[in-house]
Amino acid sequence: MTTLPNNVDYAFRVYGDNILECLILIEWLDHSEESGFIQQGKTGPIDRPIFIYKSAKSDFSYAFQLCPYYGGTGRRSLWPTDPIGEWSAEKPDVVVTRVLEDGTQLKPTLAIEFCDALQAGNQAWQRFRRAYDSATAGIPYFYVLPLIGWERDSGGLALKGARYQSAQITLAQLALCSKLGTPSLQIYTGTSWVELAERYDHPVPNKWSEFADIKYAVQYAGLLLREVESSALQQEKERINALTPIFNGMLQVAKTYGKHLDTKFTLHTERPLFKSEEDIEKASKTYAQAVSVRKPVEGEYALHNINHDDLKNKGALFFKDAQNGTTTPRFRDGFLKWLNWRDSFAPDIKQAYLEKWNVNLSGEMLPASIPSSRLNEIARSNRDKLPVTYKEGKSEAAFVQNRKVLRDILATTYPKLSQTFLKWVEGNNNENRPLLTVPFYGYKPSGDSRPDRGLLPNLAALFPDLTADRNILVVMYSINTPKNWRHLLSNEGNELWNVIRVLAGGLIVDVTQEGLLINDNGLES
Amino acid sequence: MIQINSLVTYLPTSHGEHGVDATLHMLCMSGGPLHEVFSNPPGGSWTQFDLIRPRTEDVYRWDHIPREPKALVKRPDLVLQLNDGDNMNLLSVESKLNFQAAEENMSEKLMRYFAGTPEFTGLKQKPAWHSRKGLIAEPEIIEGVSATPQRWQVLAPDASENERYWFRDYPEQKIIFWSGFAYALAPEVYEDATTVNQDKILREMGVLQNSQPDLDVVIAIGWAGKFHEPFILRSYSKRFASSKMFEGLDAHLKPALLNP
Repeated sequence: MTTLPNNVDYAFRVYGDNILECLILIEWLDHSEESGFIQQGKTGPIDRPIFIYKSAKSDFSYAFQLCPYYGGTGRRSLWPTDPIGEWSAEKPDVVVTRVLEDGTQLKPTLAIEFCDALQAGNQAWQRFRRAYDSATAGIPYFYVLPLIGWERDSGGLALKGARYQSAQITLAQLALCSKLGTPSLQIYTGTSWVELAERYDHPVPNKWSEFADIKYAVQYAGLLLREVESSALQQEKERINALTPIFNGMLQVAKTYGKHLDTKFTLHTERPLFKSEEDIEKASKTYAQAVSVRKPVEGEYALHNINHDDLKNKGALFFKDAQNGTTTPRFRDGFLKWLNWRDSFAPDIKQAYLEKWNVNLSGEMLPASIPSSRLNEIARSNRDKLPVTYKEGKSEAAFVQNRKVLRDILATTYPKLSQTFLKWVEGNNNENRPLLTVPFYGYKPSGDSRPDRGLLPNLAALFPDLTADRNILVVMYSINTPKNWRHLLSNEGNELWNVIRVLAGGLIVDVTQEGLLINDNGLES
Repeated sequence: MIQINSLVTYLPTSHGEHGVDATLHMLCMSGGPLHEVFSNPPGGSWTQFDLIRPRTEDVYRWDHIPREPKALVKRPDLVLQLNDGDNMNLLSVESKLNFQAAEENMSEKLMRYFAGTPEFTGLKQKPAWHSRKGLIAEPEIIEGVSATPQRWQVLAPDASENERYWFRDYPEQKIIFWSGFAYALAPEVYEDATTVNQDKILREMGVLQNSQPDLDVVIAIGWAGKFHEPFILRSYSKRFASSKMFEGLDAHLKPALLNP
């Protein structure tokens, strides 16, 4: 072991899934111009080195101790002190915590998630609990991912399609920033695939080369780690400078991929902050200013305050695909059928749906033979009565505005549900919020479904006001759901059930036809 | 002020495969003759191989390679490269948390990751998807994640076969595959390195090499002292011990070797 320096002014522990994750932070710090750190050398054991730095801006010295055996998807850590403990249910790839003289570790200074996997389907939100927990705990969170990836065939011989960001994740992280003032950032890497995407005329965000650069993340991380060095005012200015291009990138990505193909997040992307390039520029600064002092975003660019009126005016009609092989006829025909709308459905199905939700068809000349196109018009002009969602195309969750009708549907389909449960579904007289109703797959035949674990936090981030106070009903529908689900829910050992326990107010499990209410104090049938 | 000694005494409760991979990675990245093509410690999702084309300083990248190839094929945990004129030496290492976790036919399974099987397209058969001119000045863990990403060019389907498929078309006789197994000792931690029963461990390694004669390298890693410093014992096949790859590997391992 090389000679140890005796002491430093400040020390951090860099917990990572493995040595490579930890070293990425060191790579970041070694870009002194951006990070403000100058490496002096390293000491300690080969496999767990301690890197010593001096500040480029002051006389302070720092130590960064790599703690690389922290990984795995569960809570288990090979280190004596759990760096995330009370703050996060899942482990981000890297967590940096400050250590005090007495060995105490403070709340993490920052958390980083690196993703080099292709963005695909619900893979995008599988890690969202990490973003959500970090934001609610006030921990700056960096989600670092390639702007564009490219799928290959199974042999790796031929290119298939380009893969883009899911705007649903970007919008949810922006909404967390907006609501809480906590930095929940997406950091895009401009890999060589982006240039190919441009060459093939695939959609690429405006001015991507200006923001798809890790240097702004390095600048901001450096400021967070050197927080003690300068006055609050000076820090604020520097933070705004680092954060503005990061938010510009997130807004450009959300705008580009929020209206992509048949998936359109109109509730969000038609907000003022996406109206024009000028608005994006202004909104980037607004978000940077608010987040630099950890204050919520106020005014027209806020993204967290989507309310019932927005749903009534711009909500999309809901449709979720469910496979016959993994669902019961009870779920499909007794429940999902009454949430789902598609313009391509047969007229009699559409008419029954509209009647179920009390849409008045009596003004039509011959209700029995209303043309399909007319039914489509009627549905859209009555969207304030129907289950609506946040994106065109297939969706995951519906806001049910007529809770009384939903109550009746559930009472018929799941007769074991208690009156207390049904009363909660209906809502009390003061409760006029639509109920976020989530048909939740949950279980693949092979076991729990990791992606679904991130869905509820994602929805809670997108709609903080509409989902507050557990205004979420989960209907777990996979036929592979274990019959002992109550035990799994109670013993808090499974993150799929834990996330339901933390965020939902009501749960129905189709395979046992049972339901229960969840509140902060526990469970109630 | 924070005492550095107080940091060093903060120790993991165990080391295992993590410790093996971290030790080897840090030794391989600390400067030396070998190029680290691939490293995939537990908990990682690294799916890219970077190979240096002999007689050039051009680096080619295969990304999004499969994580869990089918049976009879093993994705290495570490791949090291040494070019010697036209010859390419590639050492693939499988690492495990202990000696007992060694599998049968490791060498064969590791080789198949490159060569392929009828059911699995080996890396050698796949086109490279990126290239960059000139050696990598600094290691880069994920393209773009480093603060100054290297300038990679995508090798689109219309790029020349000579670029995309140079590895596939490289003469078989000029690619020398080596295989290795690395593991954590049990017990992992020793009060003092002098208390390590080297003979016993070397015998254990010898037994493995006798039963798997194609295995060129066996590395055992333990931790000693109050700071749990890693140390290494290694055993090489005769063929490997007379190769240039041996000199290169030993140069990297030297800072931790218990029996230099």
